[in-house]
Parts: sequence; structure tokens; C-alpha cells
Amino acid sequence: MNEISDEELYNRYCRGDVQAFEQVYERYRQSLYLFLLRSCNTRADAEELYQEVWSRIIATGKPFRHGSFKAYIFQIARNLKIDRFRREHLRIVADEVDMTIVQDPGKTPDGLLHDINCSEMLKRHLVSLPHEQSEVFLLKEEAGLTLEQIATMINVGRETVKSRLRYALRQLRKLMEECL
Amino acid sequence: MSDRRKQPETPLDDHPIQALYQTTRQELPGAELDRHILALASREASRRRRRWLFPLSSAAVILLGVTLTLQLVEPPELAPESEELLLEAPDSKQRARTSEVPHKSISMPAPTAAKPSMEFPQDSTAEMRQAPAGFARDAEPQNRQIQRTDRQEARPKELLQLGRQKKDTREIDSDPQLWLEVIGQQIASGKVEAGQQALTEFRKRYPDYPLPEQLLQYVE
Repeated sequence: MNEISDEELYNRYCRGDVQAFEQVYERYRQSLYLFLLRSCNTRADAEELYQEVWSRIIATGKPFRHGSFKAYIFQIARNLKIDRFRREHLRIVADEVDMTIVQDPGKTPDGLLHDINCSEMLKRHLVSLPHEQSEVFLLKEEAGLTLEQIATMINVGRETVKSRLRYALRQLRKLMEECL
Repeated sequence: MSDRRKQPETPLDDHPIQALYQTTRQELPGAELDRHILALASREASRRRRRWLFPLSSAAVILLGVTLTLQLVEPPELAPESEELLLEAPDSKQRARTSEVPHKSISMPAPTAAKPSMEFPQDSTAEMRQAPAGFARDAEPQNRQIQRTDRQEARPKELLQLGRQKKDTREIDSDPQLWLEVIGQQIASGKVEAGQQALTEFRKRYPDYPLPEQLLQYVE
């Protein structure tokens, strides 16, 4: 069964279809939220930006003629995030530890604790990476954007994106060696 | 730099790191936040629907109004041409065209004292200038009549006859030229006796009016 594209859903919403918006919201609810959460220093900042991104999308109301809706919303998120950091001179630091994690019923308590530790370690290492590298990593992993889309969004060449992503992965692999 | 070059190139898809990252993807926005955003979207959607309501309803009302008006106001039927219209001059172009058409009916001569002619001169005003002073008064209305006759002949024959039938007899009586024309037509159509009676009547009314040569033989 062919799934309705994000762009079509958004266009339907622009014509007044609220259910179409609910569908597209559900598709990007988590990825957008996580992108902001991993990029911001606090959960409150992330939630504020999250709400602002959706408010912008709702208020725009212009039908989508070309381009990707996914790239569009993450572009808005990135721009708002940059504005926020510039305005408040904030530095990206690690968020408070979030203990929410999927519990694998087959794992021992030690194994579960190991997973939680690794997960939290990755989050901390991710935000400790240079901003350019973590941004490229998140845009790829959370937004699911291609290298070309990321290059267009952050206004650099494709090779630069590749290079930043390689550095990010190499650094994370080195830091997370005990978990891999 | 040289150390960096020696290192093996890291693949862009590092599956263990990606898999580990996927285990961190647990957080979700709060339910309150979801409700707030969805409510905002709903309000905006209903505002957009209302935005179309007024132009759409206005367009529908205008369309309905125009349709009803067009149905109620029927195009005016072409009224049968009145006598006035029948005898009214056609446009100048048609007049010019008819002046080239040879006269079929009995043409009335210009009232010259010397010899009434059966054919009108092309330039009747020139003829009028040559006419004796005594005829100037009579010639003026006659000249107008000539022009009208010309115009009448430009009409289809049937319409002209219909117009003539309807024409008030008093108008014929008061216009000697028109009267003579009617008499000429009567005689031409075979009603010689009626024509002669009319001619006698005419002579009584206008004893000095010059008669066309064709009608002279019918004078009793």
C-alpha cells in the first residue's frame, strides 16, 4: 500500500485537513524532538524549540511544491537552534541524565545497567563532539537526511559533510570502545 | 597530518555506533506538548477554512444573482418595424447603394415648368438651382420627397408596400408628390379606373401641380 508522502500530507493540512497534520506530526514527532534534545543543553530548551518549530510549520501554511518536507522541518529546527545559541551565548553541554531506556527482558540486571551506561555515555560524548560534527551526525541519524541534503542545509560541500561525519564516527568509536 | 593519512578511512556507515545510538532513542515529547501543538494546528486549519468561506459564498451569491437576472430579463423581442421605421432613412451607406439602383417604379419628375421628365436627374439640387423662381417653393418639399422615395426604394418591396398601406391617407392627401406616386402605382397595378378617379380628385385639389407625362393620358 502506497503511503501518502509527507509533502502531500502537509499540502492537505494547508487546505484545512487536520488529520493530515496529525499523521505528519506523528512521523516526525520523535526524530525532531531527539534532534533538538541532543543539540540543546537542557530538555526545557529542546521543548521550547520543538514547539517553536511546529508553530512555524503550522503558521506558514504554504503548500509544498518541491523539495523535501523532512529537510524543511529540520532546516527550521537548525535555524532556530542556531538563533537561540547566538542570542543566549550558550554552549552545548550534556543534558541531565535521562534514565528512560527500553528494557530487554532477556538481559541480566548487569547487562541492563551496562546498556544504560553505554547509552548515557554515547549521549554525553555526542554533545561533547565539535558542534559541526555532532550536527552532521544527528542530521544523518535522526533526520535521516542524505549527505547532499545535509550539505545543502548547512551550506557546505558534500565532501565536507562526509569528512565531518567520518571524524564524528571515528571519535565516537574511540570513546565508546568498551561498549562496542 | 601524515598520521591522519595513514589511518584507514572510517566508513560512513558505522553500524555498531548507529546501533548503539538507536538504543538511546527513547525520549518523546510530553503529552501536554503534543496536545498544545495539535490544538494549535487545529485552530489554524479552521481559520484557513473560514478564510475561504467569505470569498466562496460571495462568489456563489454573485453567480446566482447573475443567473437569475439573465433568466428574468429576457432579451427584447424584435418589434415589428413601425411605419416610422419603415419610412425612416437607412444608414448613409445603404442610401448611397440605393442611389445607384435604377428606379423601377414611376419616378416623379422635378417640377420644372418647361417639361416634366420621367427620370430624376442625378443631382436634384442642381436641377433645383436651374428651376424657375416660381417653382422654388414647390420644388423644395418635392426635393425632400424625392430623397424619401429614394430611401423607400432601398427597402425591400414588401416592407415598402406594407408601410404605404398603413400610411395615413391624410398624409398622402397633404403631400401631392406622394399622392401622385400612389396614383401611379394604382394605374401600374391595373386599377386604372380607381387611378383615374384619384387623379381627378388630385386635379381638383392641386390644379396647378405639374403631372408626370405618364399620368397625363389618364386625365379625364
